[in-house]
Amino acid sequence: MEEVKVIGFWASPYVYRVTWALKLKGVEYEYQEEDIFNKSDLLLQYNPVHKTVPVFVHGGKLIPESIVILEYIEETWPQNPLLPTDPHARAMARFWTKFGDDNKPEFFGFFGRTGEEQREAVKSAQECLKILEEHGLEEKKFFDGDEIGMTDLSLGWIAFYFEAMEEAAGVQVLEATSFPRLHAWIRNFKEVHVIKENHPDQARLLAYFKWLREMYAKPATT
Amino acid sequence: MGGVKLVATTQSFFCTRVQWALKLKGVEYEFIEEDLRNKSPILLKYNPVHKKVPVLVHHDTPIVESLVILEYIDETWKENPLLPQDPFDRAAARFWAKFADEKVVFGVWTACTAEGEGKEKAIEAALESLAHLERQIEGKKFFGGEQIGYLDLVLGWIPHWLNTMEEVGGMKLLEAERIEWALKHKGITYEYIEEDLRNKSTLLLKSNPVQKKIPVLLHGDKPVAESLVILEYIDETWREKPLLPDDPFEKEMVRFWTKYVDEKRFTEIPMIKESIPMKEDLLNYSRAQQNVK
Repeated sequence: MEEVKVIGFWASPYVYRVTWALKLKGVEYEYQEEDIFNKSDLLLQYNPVHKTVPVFVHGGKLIPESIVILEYIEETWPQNPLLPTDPHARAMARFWTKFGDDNKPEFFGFFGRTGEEQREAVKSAQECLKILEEHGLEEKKFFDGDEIGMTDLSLGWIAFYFEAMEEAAGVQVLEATSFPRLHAWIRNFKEVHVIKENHPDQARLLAYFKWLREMYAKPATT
Repeated sequence: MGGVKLVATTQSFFCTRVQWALKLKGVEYEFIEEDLRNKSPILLKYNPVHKKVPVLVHHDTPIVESLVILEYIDETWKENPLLPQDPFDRAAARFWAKFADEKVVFGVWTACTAEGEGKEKAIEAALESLAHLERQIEGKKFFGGEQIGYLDLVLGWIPHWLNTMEEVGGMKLLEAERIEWALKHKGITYEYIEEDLRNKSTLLLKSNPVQKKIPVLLHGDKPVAESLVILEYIDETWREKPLLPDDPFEKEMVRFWTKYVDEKRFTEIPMIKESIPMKEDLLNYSRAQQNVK
């Protein structure tokens, strides 16, 4: 059997995308924890371009970039597909995945800010969330339809990280009344067996984000 | 198959890569030119979220984001595959395409449009990104091997548009900048003579009568042209603080990138050549973009 390994960091949502995908497909893998604040020589060797986690190792081949890894996993282990068969539906899945990642500064901008700047950032995040709610999720149970797929995995940070970030930053962004569909999606997503059994510890995550916030929060502009 | 439409502009390389893909697969399509300063109802209908080009419309259903469109095209029309067959090779192609769009495009554009200190940092960052890409084509004719593929389409802007952006940005990413750094690095005082390429001076025509191009180094009354030749001349004439790396591979890398842009191997493929807009249009478009800032 070829070696399957994930090099990750416990608090990274990008790593969870990969481990969720492997578990959903019943693929056995070895996990190696990396301290991203003190990067090992191994990581710098495995991912010299970006020096980030996750890095996926399969039979000696190295693949960085979580979305690239997901596509690779999908092609190598076709059971329990994460992408639909219809090309247009696949295109939509890829589009929304990209949308989530491309808009990171908008979604998370509120976290490192205070005062007026933070209020603006919250509005920015809500605009992007609105687009996800109305155009991405629409009336579906999951972003990928009746079953979870690549898009749901890549947006998993909404379910597990967002709340901790909001609390650490002292703001409310994803309000239940404004985003009923996303809240329903969060509940459904958390109920999926693989997801329920594998997610970051919320208390630990909150402590982590509180610590990060202290490190990075910028003073309010006068 | 159902009608295929492409809503696009001729100048955007995100659009051109989609056109190249369709042509490579022999797919008939209707090209709908879009004026981005005056967005049409068609664009707003098919891409309400981003209101950007390109948009591929197939069976009256829109698909947006050029990389997503390329994957869709590859999956829908199976002839002349763009992505390689092997999953790992596919992963590599996707990784470098993402890297190119995120780091290289942004990096080179920033280098063109930045001023002062910011410009120098941006140029350094852009060169570092380009170095990563260069290693991927080592020993191959194209990024896709013997035939052009997905990654070549994604990077196709480099030979052609890079030159345009360089002219507009008043900066030669791979040439004049390196010469100035070389001279500064060795502590050589020099006089910088700005050249208006649309109105070439007598000095330039006399110094470089063969190519009539910049950069040209004048040492006393001896002219030296061709950036790489200039670098080697500088390194040999002023020996302290060597400029070109000692490492043969790294030295070759410097030579490679200048050669790759100059040779424009990619743009010589007839089908690609036909799709490339007139250089004048590109220059005007790029200048207009700069004025908008």
